Amino acid sequence: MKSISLAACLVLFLWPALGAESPAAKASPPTSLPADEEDQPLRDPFASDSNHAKAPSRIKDPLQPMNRAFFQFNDRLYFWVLKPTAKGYGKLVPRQARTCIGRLFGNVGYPVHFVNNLLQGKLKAAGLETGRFVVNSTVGVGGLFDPAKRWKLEAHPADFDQTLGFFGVGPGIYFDWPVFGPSSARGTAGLAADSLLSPWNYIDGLGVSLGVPAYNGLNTASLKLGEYETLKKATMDPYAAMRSAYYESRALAVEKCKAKE
Amino acid sequence: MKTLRWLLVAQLAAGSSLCARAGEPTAQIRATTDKILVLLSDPALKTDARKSERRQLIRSELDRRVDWAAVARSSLGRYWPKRTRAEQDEFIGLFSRLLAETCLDKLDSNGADPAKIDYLGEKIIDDYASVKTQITTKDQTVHPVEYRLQKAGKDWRIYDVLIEGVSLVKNYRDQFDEILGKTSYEKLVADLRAKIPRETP
Repeated sequence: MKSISLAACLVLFLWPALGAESPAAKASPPTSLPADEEDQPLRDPFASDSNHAKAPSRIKDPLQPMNRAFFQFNDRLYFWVLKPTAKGYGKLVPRQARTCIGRLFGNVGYPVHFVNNLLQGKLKAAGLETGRFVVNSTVGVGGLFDPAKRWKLEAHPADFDQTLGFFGVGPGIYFDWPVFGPSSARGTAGLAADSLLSPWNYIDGLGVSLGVPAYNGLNTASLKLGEYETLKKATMDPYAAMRSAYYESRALAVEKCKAKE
Repeated sequence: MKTLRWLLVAQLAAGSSLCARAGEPTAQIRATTDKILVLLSDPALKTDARKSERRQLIRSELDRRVDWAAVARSSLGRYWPKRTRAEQDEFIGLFSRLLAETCLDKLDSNGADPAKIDYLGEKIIDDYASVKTQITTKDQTVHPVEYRLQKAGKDWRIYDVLIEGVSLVKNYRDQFDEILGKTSYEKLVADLRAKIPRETP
């Protein structure tokens, strides 16, 4: 239960940092953003396709020195600990088995997807997620396989960060947490709230509530080795690149959940 | 952060094609993709001796389809008009090499992985087009990739790629804004130059 109270504290602590999208905030233009609209040398008629285009073009990052320090920490953690461990683990466990284990962890995420779909009023998506969970937990051997996909039961993941966005809460400021990586004030609150629905938190013992997600992280990393290296090689400022991609992808996720079923 | 992992590397992948409402922009994207897939699967070009030749051939296909000048111009954003013509040309050259090399490295490493590309449809506004595709990887993960193109004569040329909804150009613009807000353009160009591998003979 310790992790639950920790999650509740995090939600309360971070709430003031969340930027609610009040009508006043919507009416006034963002102040700290570059005036790239008028200087934009290339027209892109598709850029105004979405509501997201009207949102500020960048997330606020007042804690950048701290975030960059954490980014460096995560970088070292990856190269010094995670990568060698994941490499060794990858040699012991075949790729196919690791993909199955990844699916199993995805299947356990069902309560989070179900509850958040309901909170967003998406009954059909919640139903489809339930269908997937039932089929994959039984026919799919606890989620190791995904027969539900073949039966046209497509995944409809949803999380509390998205739900908060759905109700008009802005992302607030940017965080790049140690271990967890890119997030926002809203994203952190969302993660804390979603952790209440994680079954691992209800099994006694710190070893389970920390160990199982850590193992999931290791398994995922073993399937994605080399991708972070590519990102670092291809970007001029990997920190800014990750921040931008995080903001854009979360804004898109919120926009998608606002669309009617 | 699946998106991040796909952001810079997933422009092209191997596989068959399905098509819905295909117009000229889709046809041209598909033609380029198919040509690259043929080059990747050619056993004669897979040998170490002809590896650089294969890279050259793929690079020419990319050059034909991608409007590197538009990508560079848009990525530099509000800083673009402040540069001289010579600086702009130099920037296009360096930045296009960084992007192309990243793409080529990725294709070299796992370009032949079996996968599927579905063409989901296109939208045209005046001389601009958006072509939506979907890449399914070997482990059945699906990644939406959208190409944005501008018409130049008979050709439709790419000015942006959105991977899982994240714009490549916007991502670089945010990086350049960050860098140029703190340091000089000269430093950015020096860093860019340092990033690019030396020309292979």
